[in-house]
Amino acid sequence: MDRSVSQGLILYQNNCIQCHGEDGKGLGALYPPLAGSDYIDKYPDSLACIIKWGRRGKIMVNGLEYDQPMPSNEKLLDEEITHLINYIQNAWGNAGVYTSPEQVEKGLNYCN
Amino acid sequence: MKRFPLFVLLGLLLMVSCNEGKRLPIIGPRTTLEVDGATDTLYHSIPGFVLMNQEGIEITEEDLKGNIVVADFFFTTCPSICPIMKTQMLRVNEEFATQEDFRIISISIDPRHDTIEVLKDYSQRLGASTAGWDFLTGDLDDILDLAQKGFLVSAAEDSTAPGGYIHSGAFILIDKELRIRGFYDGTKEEKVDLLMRDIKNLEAEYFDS
Ligand code: HEC
Repeated sequence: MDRSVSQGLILYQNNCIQCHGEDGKGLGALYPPLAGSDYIDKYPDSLACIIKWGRRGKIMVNGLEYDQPMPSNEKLLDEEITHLINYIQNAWGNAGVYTSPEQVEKGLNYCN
Repeated sequence: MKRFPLFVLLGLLLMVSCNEGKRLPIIGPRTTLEVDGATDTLYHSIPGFVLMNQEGIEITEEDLKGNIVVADFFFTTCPSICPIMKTQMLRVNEEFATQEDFRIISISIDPRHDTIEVLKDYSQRLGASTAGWDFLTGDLDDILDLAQKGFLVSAAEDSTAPGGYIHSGAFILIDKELRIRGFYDGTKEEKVDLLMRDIKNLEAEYFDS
């Protein structure tokens, strides 16, 4: 599990840090925070789809509305997406839940 | 012939190079003119342009004259280096926001998408104190031309690049006479530290003279 988190950190640095920041706090009202995000707590099953396919349209995170496109990461393998989810769920004092590659694979069947 | 001891010469050299070290270089092609037997050097400067800012106000090179300016090229949907550049530009903005004779311009290289309204929304979401920070849009060809020939940085459409454009991550330091005085990698915190130091050096140049 810790190995998954540490691999997730490297993937985070390569794919996410420029927008969501090293501290996971995002940037202004442009890029939402991942640290302490109520969205992550409420919709943990949506994370795989957001990471793989990006996201468009309005989204509420911690009471603030964001509305910029997040780019897709179609090249990421299911396993790498699992590591990323484990990283953002365990970094910055977040909830600390773990996700398995099977859960990610299943989740990706339900992306809209 | 009188001989100078070596150490005096060395000392003189050192003095000269120290003074030079304080002054920032003037960057770009230069031409020398003969005027009435005297030679005059013409430095490269930012050419004339007409763009619109996030408030819908026309901004030209005349508005920059008399200000120390930091410029960059970006686009609001850029997925790769722009968010970091904007985090760093916010630092510059915060440090110099209250200063007179200082401005920041961020010029969109995707003006078809980045309309005045989009730039207004973006600047507000960024949390920029926009008093001295203009986000500029206009004609695409004019902007690409201005980037390459005016600000001497690369910018082009490229369908294979993330977001559809390639562009330089440079912050460009412009003096009050519209001359380029430095390029700094806007994606690196330590280079932006250098830029902030050089802004102060440039200010000192005007103060001294
Ligand atoms: C170009 C900037 C950018 C990059 C890179 C990026 N994101 Fe996002 N992310 C956003 C934006 C913007 C939103 C909000 C999308 C919307 O408005 O629909 C978002 C939303 C999210 C959300 C849901 C909202 C929240 O804050 O909890 C998660 C989770 C997330 N991103 C994770 C990631 C991960 C993991 C990566 C790396 C694989 C990543 N993002 C890369 C910009 C980015």
